[in-house]
Amino acid sequence: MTDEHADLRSHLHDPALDEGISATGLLAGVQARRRLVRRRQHLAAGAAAAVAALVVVGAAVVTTRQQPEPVTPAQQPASSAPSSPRPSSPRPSSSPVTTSTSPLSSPLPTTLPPPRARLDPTAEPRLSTGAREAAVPSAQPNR
Amino acid sequence: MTSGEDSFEAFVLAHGAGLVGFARRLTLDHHRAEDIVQDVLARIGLSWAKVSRVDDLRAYVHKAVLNDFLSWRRRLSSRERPADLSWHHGEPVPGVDDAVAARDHLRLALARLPRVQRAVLVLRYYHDRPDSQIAELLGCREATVRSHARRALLALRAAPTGLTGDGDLTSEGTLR
Repeated sequence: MTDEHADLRSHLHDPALDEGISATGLLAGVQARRRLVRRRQHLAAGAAAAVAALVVVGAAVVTTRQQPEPVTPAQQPASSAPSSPRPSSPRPSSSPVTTSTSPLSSPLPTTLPPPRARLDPTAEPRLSTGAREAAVPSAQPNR
Repeated sequence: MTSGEDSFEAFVLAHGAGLVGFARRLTLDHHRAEDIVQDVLARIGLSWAKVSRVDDLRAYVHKAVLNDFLSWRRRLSSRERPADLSWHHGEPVPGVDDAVAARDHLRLALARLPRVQRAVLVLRYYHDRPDSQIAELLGCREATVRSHARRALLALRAAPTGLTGDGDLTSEGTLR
């Protein structure tokens, strides 16, 4: 072993580097740090639980919103779409379009017919089932 | 208090001072050394029921202290800078013990070494560990350990107040 190694060894074994170390003070520091670590672990666990709850609730909300809406039948367009292909035959320019002969052009009746009773106030009232049976033989022709 | 807690406290009381001494030689800083040892012991204490079954518990805790010293987290958090003691020893002060001055100069040179090189020197010259064990502790090959040691010794020798071949420490800032 060279002298420089001995120098280094003697320096590293210098008892001055071991002065002032209190084992009880170290133990107190370790226990305080353990309490701190435990508290951090509890806080971390609480935070993780809160985050997990938020994630679950958020996922439920997103799933609910992303459900497809009930399918509604598409409405028929009232007139032909403007993009629909038009017939290639040229439209007569001079002849006006006549719609008076079209049956669809006639206006639909807007008023309903009045009830039957109002139309025929002299009609007989409808018979009940028993009365109808009693009336049937008299209606049959005599044989 | 449980028996596990008792045994943990007994372990800290028995080996805590040695661990702090080891960490002081690694860090060259008393406060940082106690910080590392308290951190390591607190973590070990939380899983003491499992850790206490380790065969060589003292070696295990020493390795934990070494790993914490070399860890990237510690490097990022501590922002270690080698202390600039040059103002303190720029001029020879009459009456100051040369040995004390030489010790401080060597300490300054050690503080300027990279952490892993310092760890190799501490394990080799303080713990008297063979290179094979140092390589196992550091997770590298023996050749790497020898390379770290050689570079560290070269740096100490080349330092303005480094080691000398004849066993003396220069205080004039030149190699003899």
